[in-house]
Amino acid sequence: MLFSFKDFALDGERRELRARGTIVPVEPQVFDLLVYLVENRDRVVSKDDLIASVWGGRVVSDSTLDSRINAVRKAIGDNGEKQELVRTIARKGIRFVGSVQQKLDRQVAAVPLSGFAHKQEISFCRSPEKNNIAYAAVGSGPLLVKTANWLTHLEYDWESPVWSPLLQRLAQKNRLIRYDSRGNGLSDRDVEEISFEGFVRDLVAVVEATKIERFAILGISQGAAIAIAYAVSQPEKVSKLVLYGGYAKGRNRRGSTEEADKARVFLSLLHHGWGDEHSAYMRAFSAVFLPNGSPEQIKWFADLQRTTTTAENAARIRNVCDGIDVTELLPKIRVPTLVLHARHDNVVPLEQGRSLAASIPHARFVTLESDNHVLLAGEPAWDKFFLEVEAFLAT
Amino acid sequence: MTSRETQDTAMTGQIDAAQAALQELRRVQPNISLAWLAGNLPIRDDSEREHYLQAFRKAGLT
Repeated sequence: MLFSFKDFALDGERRELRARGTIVPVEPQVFDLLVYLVENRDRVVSKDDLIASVWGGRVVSDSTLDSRINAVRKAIGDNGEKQELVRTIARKGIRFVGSVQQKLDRQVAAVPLSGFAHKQEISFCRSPEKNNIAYAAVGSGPLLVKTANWLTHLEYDWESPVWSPLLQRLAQKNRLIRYDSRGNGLSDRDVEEISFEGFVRDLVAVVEATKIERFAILGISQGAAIAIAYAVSQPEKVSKLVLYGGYAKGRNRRGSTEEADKARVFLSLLHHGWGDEHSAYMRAFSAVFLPNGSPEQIKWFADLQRTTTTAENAARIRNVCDGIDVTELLPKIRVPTLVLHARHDNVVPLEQGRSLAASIPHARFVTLESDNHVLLAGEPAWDKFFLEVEAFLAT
Repeated sequence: MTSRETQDTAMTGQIDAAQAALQELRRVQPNISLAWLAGNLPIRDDSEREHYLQAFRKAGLT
């Protein structure tokens, strides 16, 4: 990640702090501390947090800690009196309060930044069509496989202000396995076939490569239909299904020509906006996923999409999603299923979630009071989502 | 370049982009109109939506 604030640019990958283009020399520990503060600027970080993440839990005296914090302030033109960027909150800790802009690194091989409790392991397997499919495993506990959804990137997602809180939370109690489906993320971009059946085969390939026997599946958005198709074809492997923001019928299959017209127009606008960093359509398209997202989160989502695949692949993938129809499979599901859906989801209407739950035998349905297709940390529905999902997975 | 010139260049770039986009739009939806786009565009912010539509208007969409 690249962060910028005031006159400074902070490059986590190159480990450089620059002031108006000039490198500011900083001790490694001070650099780590600054990155950690900037990454966690949405909260007050305690001394214990700092010791755990920057010093790896070693014993550190208060005076060492204070001197490093002061060194951070000095490096970015702040001090203990001004506290313009790094503020001390008495008896609670410190917080980075400067206004920060965040950019994705264009280089794929991002070095994991400090501050993450878990490190993911990324490997590759091959689909039957010989496409390289990237998958990641992280955390420990019962197995949970997350199917791929609209544009993923194993590395960027793991560090993103949109996805990382959700993924990190899931990895706290589970061995979480994710993958990038063909055509996007770290998987092969240049692929012959992009189809729904192909997406299911990507999942099959990952399950075979990881040699896992029985596991729960989380399917979000289009990932729900992939999870459903897999659970029906390989019921002995699937212990539970969690479907969030999912649908059985894509936009082109919902029986209204108006919907299909809209889908075609939006696809065309999306295709055109892809190459343009400032595209109003890309921003708007992203805002539909996250109506309550911060400008930073919306920008990140727009950038992720543009970075993780080409305009052509995005249009091909979108077209596959719009054409999904797994309605006939729903009554054949034999595993316990939890369906969750945001009441005001603007991407996939609540009705789609309701009809999934109504057609899957004995499914449990939970409506979340949210506008966001992608659930964001800190919104009221967040706690309810995890309460339901964690209870469901624990039984 | 002055900021005015930068703005003009940006505007010209947007119209070029809008013209290309419009060509493709008409291919997928031959009877597309500005009114239809205005009514269906998922851009919530009024000024941003107006700005976006303006580019299509200048590109010749009625």
